[in-house]
Amino acid sequence: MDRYPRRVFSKSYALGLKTIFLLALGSVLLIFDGSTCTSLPHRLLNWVAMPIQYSVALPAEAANWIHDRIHTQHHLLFENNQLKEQLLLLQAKLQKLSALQEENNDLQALLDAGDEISTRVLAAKILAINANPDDAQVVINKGTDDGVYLNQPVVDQYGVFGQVISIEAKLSRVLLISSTNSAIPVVIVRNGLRSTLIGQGKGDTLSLINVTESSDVKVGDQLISSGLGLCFPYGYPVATVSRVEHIAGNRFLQIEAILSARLSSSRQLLLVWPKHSQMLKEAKKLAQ
Amino acid sequence: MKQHPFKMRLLIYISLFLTMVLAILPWPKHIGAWQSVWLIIMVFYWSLNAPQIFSVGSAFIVGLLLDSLFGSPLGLHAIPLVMMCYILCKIAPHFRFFSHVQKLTLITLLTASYVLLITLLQNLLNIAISSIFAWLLVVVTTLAWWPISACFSGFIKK
Repeated sequence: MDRYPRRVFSKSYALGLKTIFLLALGSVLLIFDGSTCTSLPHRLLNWVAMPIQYSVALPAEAANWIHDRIHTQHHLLFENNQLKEQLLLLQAKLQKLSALQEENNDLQALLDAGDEISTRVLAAKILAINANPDDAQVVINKGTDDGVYLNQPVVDQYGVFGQVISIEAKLSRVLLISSTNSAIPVVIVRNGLRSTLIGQGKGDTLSLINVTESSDVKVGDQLISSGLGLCFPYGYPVATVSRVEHIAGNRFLQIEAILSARLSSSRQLLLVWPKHSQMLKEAKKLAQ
Repeated sequence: MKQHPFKMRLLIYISLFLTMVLAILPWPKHIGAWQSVWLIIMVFYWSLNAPQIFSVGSAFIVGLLLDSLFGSPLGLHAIPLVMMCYILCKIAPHFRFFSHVQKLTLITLLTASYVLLITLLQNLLNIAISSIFAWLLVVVTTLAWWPISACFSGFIKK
């Protein structure tokens, strides 16, 4: 009689069985998680992976810290003077803008659309990037704890950046509008023509679809969000038309536009809380 | 491995953690498609050099974490990594007797199979398929394998 119990499976069999079990488990997860990526295991894993995502921001934070420490007084004085000059300039501009805003509010009150124009915003920092151009996403450092919600619009200082597709307590994942899975309803500022801008997975270039050949679209036309999808608020710059091509035999024009947002260089983003009542009004106005 | 198992485990965890951080660092646009190259090399290296510590279970967990970090469906990276790790764990005892050319050919073939499996799964799930740049991952992994594995072997011997 053996002194030690025998292994049920030899070591080589054990590895094979373990592999088969893990492959089956992986397949089940793949089927359940599918294309939504919102299952409970996925959310749990996001929580586990949170320290890795936060540690990505550490080198940049450290570099900033060192940069701040080694700045000379002379440089700081120079920078301070420059900032003061900029502040004066911006204040002058702001005076003009506030007069315009008051005028706009008066006009809106006359039109019985007197909602406030200002919307709530929150600054967020990019922690990690999935740079695959076909499925471009970024992870930001704000989550449900800060009131972030699913499909929330995200902008940078130049224009619309993307929308929130998954949220954790302290993190959210943002799908960039350049992604092939993304589309945004837009309107041409010059003539009010409505269309949809879809991502092509080609970096900063997007495609304007369903524009008939008789439509008036020119290179350089500014595209802003129309608010029709009730996701992105009205009036944020989205892109500028860069190429208009008419293909013989095709009823629709082939139009390409360059994004206003700086997808590859922006580090700070703004989460926007649009007023839904106002968005509905804007959408109704546009639909008429 | 002559190393103390605890030290070896620690080295494995630290190297995997660092490669995961490297995988999600903001890289320039086209290099972004190769962002998982470090992680693949590390998984391959540890499967070959410490199969008793880093086996299919560890590869599965690394794959799931990679899925979570990239925002892809769970299993998309985990399944191919488990398959590659199984093959490498089986080959591990004989690997050191292979010639340099045989070793590099094996790594190239396994990386190509990994990219092919991911592309097939993406196709099956009908999600955005990786661009053609993803295939350059095979070349980059093959080129980077030799210096990185040499560095780690030197470090372990110390």
